[in-house]
Amino acid sequence: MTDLKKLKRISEVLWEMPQEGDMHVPARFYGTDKIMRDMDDQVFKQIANVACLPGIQTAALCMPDAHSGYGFPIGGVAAFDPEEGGIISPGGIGFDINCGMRLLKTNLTIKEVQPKIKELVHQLFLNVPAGVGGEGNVALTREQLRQVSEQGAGWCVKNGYGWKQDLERLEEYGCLKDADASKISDRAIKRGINQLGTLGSGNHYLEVQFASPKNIFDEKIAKHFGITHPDQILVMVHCGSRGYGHQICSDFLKDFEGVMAKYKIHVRDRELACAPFNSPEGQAYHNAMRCAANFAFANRQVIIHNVRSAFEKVFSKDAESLGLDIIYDVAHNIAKLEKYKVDGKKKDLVVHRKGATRSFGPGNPALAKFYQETGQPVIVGGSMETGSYLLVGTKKAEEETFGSTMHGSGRTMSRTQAKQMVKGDQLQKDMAKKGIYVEATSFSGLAEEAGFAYKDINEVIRTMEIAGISKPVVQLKPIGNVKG
Amino acid sequence: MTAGTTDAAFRFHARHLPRQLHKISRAQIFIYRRWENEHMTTFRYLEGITEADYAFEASGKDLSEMFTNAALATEGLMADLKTIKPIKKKTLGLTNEDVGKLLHEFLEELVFLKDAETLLFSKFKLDVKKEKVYMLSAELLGDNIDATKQHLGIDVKAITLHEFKVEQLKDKSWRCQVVVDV
Repeated sequence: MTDLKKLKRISEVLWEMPQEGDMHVPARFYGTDKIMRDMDDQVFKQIANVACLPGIQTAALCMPDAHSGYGFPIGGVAAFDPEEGGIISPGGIGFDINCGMRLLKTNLTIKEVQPKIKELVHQLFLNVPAGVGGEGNVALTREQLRQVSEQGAGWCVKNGYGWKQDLERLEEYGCLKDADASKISDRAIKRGINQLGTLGSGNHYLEVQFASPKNIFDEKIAKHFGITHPDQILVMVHCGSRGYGHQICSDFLKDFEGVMAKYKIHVRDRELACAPFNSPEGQAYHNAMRCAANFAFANRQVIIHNVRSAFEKVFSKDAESLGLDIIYDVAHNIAKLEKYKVDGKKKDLVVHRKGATRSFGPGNPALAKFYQETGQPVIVGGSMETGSYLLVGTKKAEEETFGSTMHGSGRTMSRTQAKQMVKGDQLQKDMAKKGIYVEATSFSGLAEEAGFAYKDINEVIRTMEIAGISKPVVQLKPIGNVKG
Repeated sequence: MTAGTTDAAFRFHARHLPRQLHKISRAQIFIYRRWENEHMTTFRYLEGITEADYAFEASGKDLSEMFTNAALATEGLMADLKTIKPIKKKTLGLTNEDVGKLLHEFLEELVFLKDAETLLFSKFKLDVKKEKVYMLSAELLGDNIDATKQHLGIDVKAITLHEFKVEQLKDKSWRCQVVVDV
């Protein structure tokens, strides 16, 4: 239980930990009273450590789904100015670089899909490899892996894994520019070369969901995104850059530990190892990180290609006539160079989002034309029992949170505790009774992801709605799930 | 039984317990503790360090035993150890001036082999010693990942440095604490 008296309440859902000791800026938290009372104590310690990093601007931020990580808390956002010695930190992005969400719509309704849900989930389970060490069905050469690293989802579309129009529907059009594959270690290549198109495990999933009319909060925007008829079926994918990204992060964490003394950087936690963004080491990581991010965009692209094939097989229609269009794809473990006004001055900042989603509002030039009026879609994955949300970003997010918002519901219980409370096979049966059919590679892994192990997603969403950081469009409820 | 062990670890651990442990008494706890100290085949998953990931503690009467237990704790997250047949062998040699870095590197190697060669291991023949530097030579026995043969668990993405500790205790035994990203 957190002692909230130590925090200054700025508004109904915004709290501040004053700057003290080595902190360069204060830390700020988004949360309702309930979220703040239940916040893991480690989060406060970890975000205070982040506030001590060189070049940090305005405040270290915690989203309402924050929970303890290593180095940065998960749900942490921090922006650094390279001109003021600002750093880049692998621990501020996470091992799973460009872990993210992708949302696909269909023209089908729950009435059409429910009778075939077992067949559909099983076909998805067959088409999309998942679980420990899962190998993908795209055999890449080293040269092709280099191309994937530098071209992202574009490589997939060029090679038949998707449609040309898909790219317009992805954050950064599915490719971070200036990725340099020469910075990637042989170990990362060996870990990633067989994994394109795989889901992984942990909290990664592929979910069949529906949008009931009572859960649509902004009909106009929902319609614009293609959610046009009652109880429409959608598909959500949550995964990242697999062993490729994990190894790139591990490699640079080690390198950065060795160079901090050279740059006179002291960190309170080894997982906060970092280098000045403008140093050769910082630039090498930035280039390598972008390769991993592109691998993740490509990974989700191959997955949705295989999702389309699964739907085609089960419903005996082509993916185009089933309307399997992408609504959007977001990265929630990433660092990006973005422009913000700080104390009236425009600056290029390195914005770290670790378990946080970009939330750009209408008119932002980084968004494709299709999203100019609505703002960018924000895809927030809940637990596999409670459902997820589609929201849109706002101008206020750009002014207040370096264009960032929550990414999920956030854990409230450890994996071990969750497994002590329920067995995976029992959970599978309980979920079936609730109308959610699940196939998993691991029963213990399934139990770890039980809905009760997570915060109430509605409270998390409500926080950012009250704060004006993102605006709910539709809540999505699951009916089928593939779990790694 | 140590609180917080996972099913896989529990089953692995239970195999080594005296048969009558369920009729437990203080004397038997003492005997069990002594037995546990002699065999040192335990590791345990820790609560209160991380919610999203896993933390474990492993110990041993010497470095070889502690490294073995840390390896079992890592592999035990990815699959029920009993279901990994020790039919494929890998050998490994590592050196480092720092014992903590050597352990970190060794565990990272297991994560690497899981992805690069789809191998999981259940038996370890390790020799870890200090000469001028710390040296590890290892024989790892396991099998390729196959969900139809093994009870798979959760994918270990990385061995983190968060709260990473290796220490020698007063009785000369060794203990480590490791947080893994999953």
